[in-house]
Amino acid sequence: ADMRLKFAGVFPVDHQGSKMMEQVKADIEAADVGLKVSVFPANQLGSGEALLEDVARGNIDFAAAFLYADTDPRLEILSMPFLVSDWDEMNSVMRDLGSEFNTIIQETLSDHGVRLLGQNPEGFVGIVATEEPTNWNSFDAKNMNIRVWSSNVVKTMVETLGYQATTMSWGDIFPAIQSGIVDGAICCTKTATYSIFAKSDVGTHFVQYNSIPENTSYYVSEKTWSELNEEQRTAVQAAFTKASDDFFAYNRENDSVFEQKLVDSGYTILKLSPEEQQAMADKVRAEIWPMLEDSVGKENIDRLLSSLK
Amino acid sequence: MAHITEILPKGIATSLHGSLKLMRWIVIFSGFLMSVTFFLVVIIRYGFNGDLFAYEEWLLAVCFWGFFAGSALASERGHHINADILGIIIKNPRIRWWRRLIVLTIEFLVTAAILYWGYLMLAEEIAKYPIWKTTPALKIPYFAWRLSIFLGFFFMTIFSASILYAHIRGFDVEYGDDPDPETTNNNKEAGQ
Amino acid sequence: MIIAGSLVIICGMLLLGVSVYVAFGAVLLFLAAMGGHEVSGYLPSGSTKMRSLVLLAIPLFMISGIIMERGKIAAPLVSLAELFIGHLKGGLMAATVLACGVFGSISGAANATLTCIGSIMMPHLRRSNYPEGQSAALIVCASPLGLLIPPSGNHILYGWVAQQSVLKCFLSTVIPALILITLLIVVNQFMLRKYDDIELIERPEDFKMAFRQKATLAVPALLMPLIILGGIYGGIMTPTEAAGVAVVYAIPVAIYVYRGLTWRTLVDALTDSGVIIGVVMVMIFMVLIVSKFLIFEDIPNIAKDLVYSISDNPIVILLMVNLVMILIGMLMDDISGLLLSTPILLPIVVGVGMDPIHFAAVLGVNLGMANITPPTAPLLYLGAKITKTPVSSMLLPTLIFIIFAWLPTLALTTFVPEIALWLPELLLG
Ligand code: NA
Ligand code: NA
Repeated sequence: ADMRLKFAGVFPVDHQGSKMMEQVKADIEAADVGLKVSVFPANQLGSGEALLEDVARGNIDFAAAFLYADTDPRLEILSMPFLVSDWDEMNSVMRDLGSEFNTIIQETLSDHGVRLLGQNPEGFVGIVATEEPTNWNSFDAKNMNIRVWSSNVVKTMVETLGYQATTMSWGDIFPAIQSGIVDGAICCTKTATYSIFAKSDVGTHFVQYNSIPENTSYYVSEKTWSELNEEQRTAVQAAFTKASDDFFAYNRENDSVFEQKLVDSGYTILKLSPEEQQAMADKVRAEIWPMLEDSVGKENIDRLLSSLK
Repeated sequence: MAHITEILPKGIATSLHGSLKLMRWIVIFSGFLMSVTFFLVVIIRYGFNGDLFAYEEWLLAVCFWGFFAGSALASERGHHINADILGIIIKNPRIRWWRRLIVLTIEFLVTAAILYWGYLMLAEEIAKYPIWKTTPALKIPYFAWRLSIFLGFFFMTIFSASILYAHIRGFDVEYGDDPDPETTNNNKEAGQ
Repeated sequence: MIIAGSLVIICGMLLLGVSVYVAFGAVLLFLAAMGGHEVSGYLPSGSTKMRSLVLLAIPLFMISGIIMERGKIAAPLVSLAELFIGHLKGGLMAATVLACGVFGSISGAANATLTCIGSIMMPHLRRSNYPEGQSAALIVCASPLGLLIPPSGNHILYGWVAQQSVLKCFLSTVIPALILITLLIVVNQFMLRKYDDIELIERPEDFKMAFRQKATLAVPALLMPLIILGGIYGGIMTPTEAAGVAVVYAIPVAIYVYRGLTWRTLVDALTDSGVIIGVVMVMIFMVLIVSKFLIFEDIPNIAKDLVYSISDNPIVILLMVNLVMILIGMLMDDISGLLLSTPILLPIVVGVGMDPIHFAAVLGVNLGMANITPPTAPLLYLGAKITKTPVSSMLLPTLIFIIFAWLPTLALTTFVPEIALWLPELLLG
């Protein structure tokens, strides 16, 4: 009989990421190599932290999910702000599985029995706000309280940019912004901002700081991988590579589509000039990156930096 | 009626007493901390425009200890939620006795199985050392609260076993709330 | 096979009288025996899932409930309600229902509502010669109003699991609660008609004076819903934070205003609430694991196919879903029922076009009922203890209240979506 594999994801059911999961399923099954795939979207089998654990254990075979540094501090490399600044860099640094960036990530994941199959940067995370932040394009105080997730790096970065930061879990963001507990949140790509906030008439401004990419990863349990034959492995890798390519093309194309949708629904998009973007990148790299040496490791950061030159 | 620890050998009883006392303090402390923390979070945000950074990381760790100490205390007192209806409907003391034996045996065996799963969880965690799973901001190891789950089920298994033992030996121990004091009293008289 | 086996085990265990958390553990043993996954993943997945700040609202509601009970914070509310309708036949009982409703806006849990109102009202009802079993049953059947009137621990859990706005979920059961209050009072009046030896409370000569006195005393208690609900809807705090603020507010009010509690007995209150919290959290822990591994086995899809193979008529499907929830509710307490059934039932009802907020209301009413429907009926047993009334004398009146007040409320909430959706849409868009 065919081997049935479980594929878990964290995107909502109607999200493009879930559609890509269905595509992976279709492609693997069409390859006719004795594999069937069951897809579980929308955190059904757990959120990112839990999925990595269950994949490592072999209870889940594939995942399309965020990699959190809970499991291993070296994974903080994924939230290095201003590592990449545009879509081309995203493609070359983050998506190429042979890049130094992904080599470091694969080394880390190997220690946990997990193998990387693809990276999916979906766009840059911006700040969703209910009013225009004063001094939004400089480092001066903005008199605005922004939700951040529990990350020293992100909190310090937001404060460096001149915001007050309040840590808050993902689940609290929507009600907190809706009711005014915070004035905004660093949380979402344009696509997500539109579907989560703009559609519900929440928020008015999207501040685009091209600093942290929203990235999910495709990964497989080493246990499962070792049970597959060469032909099956090739089919699986091919399906994931294709999905990753298609997903990236979709996101790249839709960034401007959703920007327009945001504008149409009454949002103002605040964009930095190239000089302002560079100034922020320089400051953050100088002040924030050293903070990452403890978790990511100085050696790894040096490796990464020299590969980028 | 005797307290459950009174029917056990002295050495065990003394250490259980100590543990119970400790668990009560854990429960009190975590309940207090939970309430005060959220109050402070609101005050700090509105009064001082500040942020209690990553407080969920230590707060949740402490709360896990409170939760599982509380469940162990609930096992000691027989307070876990169940369907008491058969205890009200069945009047025959022999059937009552047998039903209770079956229930207590199942509770003991299943709780022991959960304890074993808890052991697997900790063993796996320890085997990963030195790359421990930690919280993102404060680097609190997951082990810090997963241990509380294991210990909680450890004590739940012990109490479950003691109560089963007391039932088989026919000791009368404090356990649970009688849903219907009148009927139970009548039955006790009828049984004697 | 796995569905059938899990169902048989859960039902069998619960009917036998095994603790709910153990029944879930037995299902996990069964799933382990069926193979296909590493059991070392059971507890870690529960612990990861439970590591959520949102969830802390549940224990906080338990703590504030006990502090309010020991602190006698409900007393002035009750005496205020009595003042208005105590002189009518059945008035004291109607006042009990209303007090449960008002208290619901302070408390986020049904057991707190039951202990607070029940311990105060029952002696009054007895003194006035109201039938004992019916009185106790009415208190028990009205106590889930604590969950239907916001804030509600159940809705916080539902919002968390179903990823819905908690603020909207809160509002979805306000009108169903008003319907339930009306029905409970009407049904109760009808049941009272054969009793004519009931002593009525005399209306005070100087009503205005009495009102002023009692209202002043009730102010600190009535400030609580203002702080909690005002805080939540005014954008000052999240529901979980509000639950914490409620505890910190209740402590001095209980100690210095109503003097039901001292700093010493506060420690006892915290210990006792710790035990209740332990009971609830270990159930949540186990049910989160079970629900996850049932989803691993693709149960939600299998269940959905099963339901749709019987009928694709929305009305029939909603009836079936309600029937399933009532059965789950009989076997389980509300929290376990919610966490187990939401992932399975939500896709089914969304498939026939039901709004998830509407489902929040349907689930809310169903789960309120779950606590009072035997065999697993924690509120019924707790109510018997609080009111010192034998369960056997409460069973028949409870059944009557369920059939003539709860079920009609459930039917209206299910089939008239506006009942659930009108208020959230009006206030939150
Ligand atoms: Na309530
Ligand atoms: Na029930």
